[in-house]
Amino acid sequence: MDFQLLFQSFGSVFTFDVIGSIFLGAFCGILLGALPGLTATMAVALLVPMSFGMPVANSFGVLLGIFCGAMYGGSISAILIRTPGTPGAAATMMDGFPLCQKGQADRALTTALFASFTGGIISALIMTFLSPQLSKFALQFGTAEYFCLAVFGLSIIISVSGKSVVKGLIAGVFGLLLCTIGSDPITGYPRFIFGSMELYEGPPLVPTLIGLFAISEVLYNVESLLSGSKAQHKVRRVLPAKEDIRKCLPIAGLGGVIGSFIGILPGVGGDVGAFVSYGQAKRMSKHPELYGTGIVEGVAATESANNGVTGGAMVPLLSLGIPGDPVTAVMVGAFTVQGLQPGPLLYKEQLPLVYMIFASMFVANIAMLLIGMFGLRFFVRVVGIKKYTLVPVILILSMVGAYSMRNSVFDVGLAIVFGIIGYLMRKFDFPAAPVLLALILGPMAERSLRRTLIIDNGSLISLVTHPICIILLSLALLSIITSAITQRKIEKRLAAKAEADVGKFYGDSDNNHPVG
Amino acid sequence: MVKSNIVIGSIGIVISIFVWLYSEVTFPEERNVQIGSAFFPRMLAVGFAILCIVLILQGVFSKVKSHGIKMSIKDPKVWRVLITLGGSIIFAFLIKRIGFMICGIMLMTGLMFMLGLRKLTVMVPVAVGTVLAVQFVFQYLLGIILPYGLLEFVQYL
Repeated sequence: MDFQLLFQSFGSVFTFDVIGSIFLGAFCGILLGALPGLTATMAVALLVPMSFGMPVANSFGVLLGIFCGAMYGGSISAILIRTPGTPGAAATMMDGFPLCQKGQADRALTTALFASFTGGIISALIMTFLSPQLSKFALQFGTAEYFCLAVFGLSIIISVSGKSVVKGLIAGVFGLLLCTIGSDPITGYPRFIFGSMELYEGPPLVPTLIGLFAISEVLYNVESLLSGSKAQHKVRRVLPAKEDIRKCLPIAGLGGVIGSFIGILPGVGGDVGAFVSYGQAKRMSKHPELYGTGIVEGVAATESANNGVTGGAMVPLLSLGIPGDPVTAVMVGAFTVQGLQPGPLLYKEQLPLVYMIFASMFVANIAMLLIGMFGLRFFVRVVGIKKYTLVPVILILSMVGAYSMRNSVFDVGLAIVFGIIGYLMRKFDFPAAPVLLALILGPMAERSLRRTLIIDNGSLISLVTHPICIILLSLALLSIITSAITQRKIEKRLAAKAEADVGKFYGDSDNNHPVG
Repeated sequence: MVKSNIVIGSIGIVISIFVWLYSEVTFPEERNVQIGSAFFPRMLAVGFAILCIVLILQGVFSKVKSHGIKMSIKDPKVWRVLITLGGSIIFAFLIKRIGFMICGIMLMTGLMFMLGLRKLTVMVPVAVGTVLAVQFVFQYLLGIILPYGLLEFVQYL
């Protein structure tokens, strides 16, 4: 590591135009990330032409600003209106939205901002100091390892099942069944598409998420409008309280590391990282039963991991020339336009540029933090809008978000269908989080399982012979056992509470009943 | 007995059977690939059916007596949900034909009216303002053109 060059790179980044570009990128990223339907990939893809005419430093400054900003921006709509702005923020809804409903929107948003910043900085540090070593580690991931990673991610289904494990598992398997719609990942044969070519690539993730969460929330709000209580939302601070920082810092640190490691694996993005981190934080917690009810630790776990992915995804891009996730795949275009070829040669021929990218990553996270702090007062106002105005606005944004992915009316229809499914699931106490988890991890699970079976002639021997597989499967097994024990405790506690409530009700009835 | 669990479990079993039979009848037999297209869906269908049977058994042997959630057509809550869904479906159906702006304004004002707002001075500016802002942001800042429909002439102004 050439520290002198690193400091020089910071010097070259700290110029008015480069800093301005990074701040502009972070601002646009937060704005686009917060809009339902516009993912971080779309945000970078939409704004990448803007960077073509810029000098190299400004160009990468803008792109990294957008990347970091969009990852955080997704959490704003997830927390405030139960609509994940980006798939990476989908897991943030599980604790962020309940916190908002408790009247603590500012607490959820400041925690998300603080965790995003912590995760982003950790990933920038990992990217700066461990890029070459991590790239070698990523290359050891074959199909069997990817399958085990998916199983590890799916192992938290039990712990996000809510009141009933069976209902959670049914929701999870239902989500996995939805993933089998579309072309077969190995042979390309169209499955369950019933002649509709719009489904050839499977149900598109963003319209599906919009339906399951945003439209179902609209329907729920429309139904319970008259009985709904109005929580007060005041911005008391723009950064978390000391107590929250103390609670969240270790979780955010771990989330940043998990996100960075997930990010270096090609094809795996912030959505997977957020769920893996959430599961890990819940397993390590002394009060796992509180996860999902609206606690800051849950928000910190997911947000730190999805921003942790930003630095991680840059590692294979810079060291090997392989994009770590769809956003960095789009960035390859920016490299090409600037006449650069990402990969091992970049370290030999363009070392100052590589160091400048490292420096820009740190500054992009600082820009995201400052813009987030400044914007917090404006974001929170959304929740203060009266329901009869807010609900139609959310519905319109959801429809447009679903449409804009592929300019397709079919996707709007699909979002409505998933809205109905999400609404009915909520009515009958089926948790939506397992469906979400399955939709994100299902395609990776099937693809890698079948490839493994084909490579090993129908045998699963590599799952128990590869060291990474053994570690991941052991962790998954441990996760399932601990989740099952915790869930059992939660169910018992709920049953005892229900019995006590019934007893109290009859006691009250007896007391109120006229004697004689 | 929890009736809703029994009904949902039964629907789940029907879905599992459908997945199995559909993949049996329509998916091609692959000679070159040992593990075919039907492998994963069938594996999941079996798991889904087992879980649904467990749900039914839980429903049958539950000590709690519940008929599930009653949804009456006379209930105004149900009507609000149905009207919102109907409006959304009409929006999706007409967006290409008559355009996002007209559809959006109609859907928003309709919903606000249904939710109890009666002030035209609030309804119209909110609906028009939101729709115009969305159209502007998507078209001019993001390069995504939402359908103009009947107002196609507007984009040439």
